[in-house]
Amino acid sequence: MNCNAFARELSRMVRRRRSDLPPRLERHAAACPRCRAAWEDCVLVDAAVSRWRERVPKADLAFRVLAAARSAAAGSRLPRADSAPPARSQGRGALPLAVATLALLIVLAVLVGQPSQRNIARLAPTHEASPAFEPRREQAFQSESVADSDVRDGAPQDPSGPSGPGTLALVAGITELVPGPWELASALGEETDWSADAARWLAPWSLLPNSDHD
Amino acid sequence: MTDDGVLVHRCLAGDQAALRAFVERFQGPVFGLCYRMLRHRHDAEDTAQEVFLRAFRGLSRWKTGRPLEPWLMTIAANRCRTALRRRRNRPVAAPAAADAAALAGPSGADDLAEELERALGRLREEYRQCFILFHHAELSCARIGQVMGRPAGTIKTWLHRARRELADRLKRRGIVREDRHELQRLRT
Repeated sequence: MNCNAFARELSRMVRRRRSDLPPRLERHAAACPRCRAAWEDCVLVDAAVSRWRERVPKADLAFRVLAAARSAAAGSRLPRADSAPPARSQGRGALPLAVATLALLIVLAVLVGQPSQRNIARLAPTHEASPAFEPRREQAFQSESVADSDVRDGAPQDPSGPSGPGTLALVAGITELVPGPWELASALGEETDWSADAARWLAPWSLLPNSDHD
Repeated sequence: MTDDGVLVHRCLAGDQAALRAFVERFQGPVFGLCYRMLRHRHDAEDTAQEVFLRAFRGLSRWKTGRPLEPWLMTIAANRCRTALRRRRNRPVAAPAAADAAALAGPSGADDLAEELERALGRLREEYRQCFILFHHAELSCARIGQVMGRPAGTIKTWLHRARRELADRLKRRGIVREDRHELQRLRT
């Protein structure tokens, strides 16, 4: 037997999952260090495989498989552990959702444009008379660190203001659609005394025990 | 009729207990193959579930008298290869730490199984799949060739190269054959 024949026989043994070396191959391996090394490699891998095959973690799939089978039989989609929605469903739902969103945005844009102008027109006469209108707008768009006094003192406001770009404009429009007590008071031409209002609102708390108010 | 035949007949009759028995009987090898191929427990569970559902749907086409397990393992191999193809589109390159530890074994010890798993992870993907399908799923080279869409001769070559590379890697890691059945780590 030559080395090529030994290599062919060895490969055949591997494919047939046999591990015992026939005597004639063993004789050749004993005389040929290269073929003996190939045989030893083969034994090494087989030993590793036998340990490796035993090391598969267990899984109890019966419950989930039967549940999925019932779902499939009922015509619904199979549950998956990662619970990711299927891509085709997303594709189907995407177009109507986009159309609906676009339509909503158009309607909102129209509504925002018209009423905000109406509000401004309606409130315009009282706007100058009542500085109380300004805090409402400022609180909607600026940080709370802005001092009320700065606003009440008539600090110049940007007419386009926060209703300029993108989302802020939309929020501004929606905010203006819902009149707050300041706007209502201004629209009714009432004088708003903030210190009196504050005292009136805080009065009930002063009745509480352990209150800091005297 | 063989045990497999009786079980399949009961499953086809809609016997829930038989379906459960079917899953319980084959979940070990099927899940094991999925886990080895995908190296990710979650994906392996999903894929194993798919395998059983496909098997249930195809049970009527199963030829009585033929062994059931190789048929099931072929389905599993195909599903795993499909899952691996899908995975290329999402970034799951390496198994999670918990999965890697589980792949190595419950003890987590630095032993031969762990070394082989590590070496397998460094093989070419074709070699790795070929090795797993041959040694874990125990599919023949011809069947692996069908699964992988290659001639049986190519599979034989891949298997040979995979085994040779694994042996080289194991030896480089200090694992040698002490005698015919026992191997010992030189490096501790």
